[in-house]
Order: sequence, then C-alpha cells, then structure tokens
Amino acid sequence: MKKVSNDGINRRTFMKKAGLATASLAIGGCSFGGKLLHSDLLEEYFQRHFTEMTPEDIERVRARLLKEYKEKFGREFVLGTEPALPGVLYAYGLDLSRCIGCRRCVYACVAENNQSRDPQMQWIRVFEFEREETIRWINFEKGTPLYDHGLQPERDKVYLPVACMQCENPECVRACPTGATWKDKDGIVVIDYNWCIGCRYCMSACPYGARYFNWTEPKIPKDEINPNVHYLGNRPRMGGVVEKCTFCIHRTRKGRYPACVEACPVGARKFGNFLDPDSEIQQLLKHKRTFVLKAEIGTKPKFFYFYSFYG
Amino acid sequence: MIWKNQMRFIIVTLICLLVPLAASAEHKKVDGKEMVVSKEKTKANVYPVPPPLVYQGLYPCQACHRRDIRGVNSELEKGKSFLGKYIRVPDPRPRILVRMHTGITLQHADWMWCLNCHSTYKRNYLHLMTGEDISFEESYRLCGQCHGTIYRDWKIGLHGRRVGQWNGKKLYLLCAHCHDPHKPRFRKLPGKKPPRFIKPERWKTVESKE
Repeated sequence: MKKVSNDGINRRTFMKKAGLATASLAIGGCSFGGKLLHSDLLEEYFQRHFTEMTPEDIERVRARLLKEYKEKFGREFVLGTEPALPGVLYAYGLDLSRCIGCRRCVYACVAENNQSRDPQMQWIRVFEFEREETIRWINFEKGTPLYDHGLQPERDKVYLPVACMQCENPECVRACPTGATWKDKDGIVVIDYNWCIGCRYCMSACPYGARYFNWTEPKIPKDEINPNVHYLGNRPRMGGVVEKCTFCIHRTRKGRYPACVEACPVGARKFGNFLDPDSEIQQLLKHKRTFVLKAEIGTKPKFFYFYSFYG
Repeated sequence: MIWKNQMRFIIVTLICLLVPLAASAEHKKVDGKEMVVSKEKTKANVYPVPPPLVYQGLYPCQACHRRDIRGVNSELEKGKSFLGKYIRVPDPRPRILVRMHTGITLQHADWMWCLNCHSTYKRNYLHLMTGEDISFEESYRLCGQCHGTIYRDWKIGLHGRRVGQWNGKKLYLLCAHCHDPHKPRFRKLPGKKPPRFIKPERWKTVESKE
C-alpha cells in the first residue's frame, strides 16, 4: 500500500484543531452572546409578515425602525402603521385635456416619498404623444418620457403620466413568490419591504412598468427627507427591494390628498373614494369620456384617464 | 250672487297663495328612495372659497368711483347742468381707457370691456346680466354665465384645483385665483427635467433620433 504524504497533518490533528478553534470562538462569542441574540439584526431577520404581526409586534418594529432612522438620518420620524379606512376604495382620475407635462407631480412625489436621488428614482413617468397618435388608441411605442422642451406644454402634444394603477386584479401580486406585495382593503397594492427578496418577478409582471427596483442603497440628501412615513409606504427603503407609488398611503389614510394631486398646477389630477357616489371620481366616471390603459388584459386598474373638454 | 263671486275670489286667491308653499318642497323618488329637493335654486350659490385676489392700491374701487367725486368720468360731464357737475354719470360706451387703469391690459374675448363685468354704479361689485350685483367672492357666478360647462364641472370639483381633504372639507378656488380675468390666456410654464435614464452626455444623440 502506498502511503500518501499529507504534509504532517492527519485527520485527527485537523479535527482537534478545528474543535479548539470553534470552542474558543464560542466562548468569545458568549461574552456578547446576550447582545447578539436580541440585536436588531436578528429581530429584523426573524420579523414576521406585516399582516401576521400582532399589535405588540408592530410596536416593537416601530420602535426598532424609529431608532434606526434616528441613527441614520438624525431626525425624529413619525412612523404610521394605520390600517385601511373602512368603506374606502381609492381611485384616481387624470384629465388628459389639462395635463401640460410640467412634471411637477413627479418631483413632488420624489420629495414626499423619500425616493433615491442618486441613482434617480421616479415613481411617475410622464409620456408625451403627438395628438394624432392618441385619436384612436394610445400606442406607447410612439410616446416618449424623455421630452425636454423647457416651456410646457408643447403645441399639439398630449401628456400622459403613468404610475402604479392599483389594479383590482393585480398581476404583480400574482407573481410575487413570497407574498411581499398584496392588495390592501382600501385598494392600495402595498409592499412589505422587509419581506421583499428583490427577485423582480413583479416588475416583469406589471403591464404598466410601474414598479421600480433599488439597485443600490437609496441616497437622499438629509435635508430633503420627509419624516412622516408609513411602514407600507414611504419609509426609507433599503437597497434590493422593489418600490412603487402607494397613493401616498401616509397621507390618504389620514384624509389628505396625495402629493401629486396637490402639486398639479392645472388641476388635472383628481383623487377620491370610488365607493362614495358624491366623490369627484364617481362624477367623472358618470359624466366624462373615461378610459383605462390596457383594458383588454383584465387588470381593472383604478387609475382613470379622462377628457374634460374635446368631448 | 255677489257673495258667491267674492267667495270664489277669496278661495281662488287662497289657493294661489298656498300652492307655492306646499310645492316648496318637491318630493321625488330616486332609485326607490324618497328625496326632498328644495326649490330654492334662485338664491345665490355659496361655495367656500379663499379671499379673492384684488389689485393692491386699486381696491376698494369705491374709494374713487363715488357719485360725488367729479372728474372721474370725462365726456358726459361736460356741458352738464349745475347738478351735473356734482353727480357723476358713468360713460357706458365701450372704449380703451386712457386716463386711469392703463396698466391693466384687457384681452378677454374681442368684444368685452370693463363694465361688462364690473358693476356700473357700485364699483366694489361685479354684476350679472340680470342686473344683480354680486361681490368678488361670488365671481364664479359671473364667469359661469358664459362658461357654463366649466361652471358645471367646477361645482362638482372636476374643473381646477381643490384644496382640503378627500373625505372631508374641501375648499374651492375662485376662477380668478388661477385665471387672470383681464387676460385669461395662460402662458407656458417652465417644465422640470426629464428622468435620467441615459447619462447626460448621451442626451443629445437621443434627442436627435426622435
């Protein structure tokens, strides 16, 4: 039998040395073992899905997040976790005969929802079409979101802002493998950022391209941070999760309008409760020429485009 | 017989007086539910609005436009009688003003001039075509005379901006808060920058392709 040289180490010595090393690490680790077991890192790792959390869990999560934001941004945040208001289904209306493509809604959304400035994240994308291209149907291959004319509106152009449609039958919810995104009771499709694994299946499933991915840690200048946040909405996100328009969940669940509605200088944006027959949304559905994008695929979006004049 | 006629007269008068009272509340059935619709539509519609915008230094108009101040309206006062020197009569002829208010350009439909909207005798008010004087806080009724479709949309919240809460109190904005009534045509607004999908160095090539 040939004896194979093993440079002086045989299995027995190896195992002895490995055992000693592990033991010493364990002893060393036990000295701050107590702290490690209750550390925020482990709490975050073992956090449950938002819909399964008890109120005590939510309070613990809130305290942990507030501490984290205080350390990271140096400001006192207000973290809301309020559930949906009863008897409400949010819907949005956009007046295409009035939108001038000024993009004030885009930047108001960026400021309100703590979106990364570098790399740039924008939840609303405004498309510009030639007027003739919109007469029969909207062909997105003929439109561009990259227009830059200086003064708006440019003559004979139609502007169409696109954001999350909060569909009744959302493709993204069906595609999510972990259940990190779901349609809440008031109609908003929400994301639990701590549950999202960043696989981006939802981004490929969304027919409107309304979901965006954080390739890196979002970078926001400290003085532009909005400290009024909601757990499911505009709280500072981490890199590697998907985010999208949430109809300003931190505002609408308290009765305020979303930031884009208040920013629009021409009043092209309408927001309200779909279930309230006196709301502006029901009025425009009754009286104006209204349509939704990609109606044929059956997602039943809650974002209605309408014309208040030219028909 | 006289009494019969008188009785008939009294009864008919009473009926004519009482019927409008009874019909002041109209009962309608909408979707099977009883609805009471008030007949008081001729009263002023009152919508909550923030204070109207006025020209600083010119408002209140009746500081100058008073009946007892001479010289405010020129030609008609010439050749007037003794009393005419002291009682001002506004000149109703449409014209371009040369002595005062030359800083206000009026470009609101070809045919309109000041006294189409501003009340002739009570200059702190505007007037409707019915002759009714309305205050600046109700100026939407004046605009609604010609722009009826817009007024209809504005009343239900579909025209222009509203501030407030979607499920609670909402404030309307007056027409004049966004549209300058003397020169309503909007200028273009400066637009904000497009998204940076492509590095700025490569923007020029993209623009030229389109």
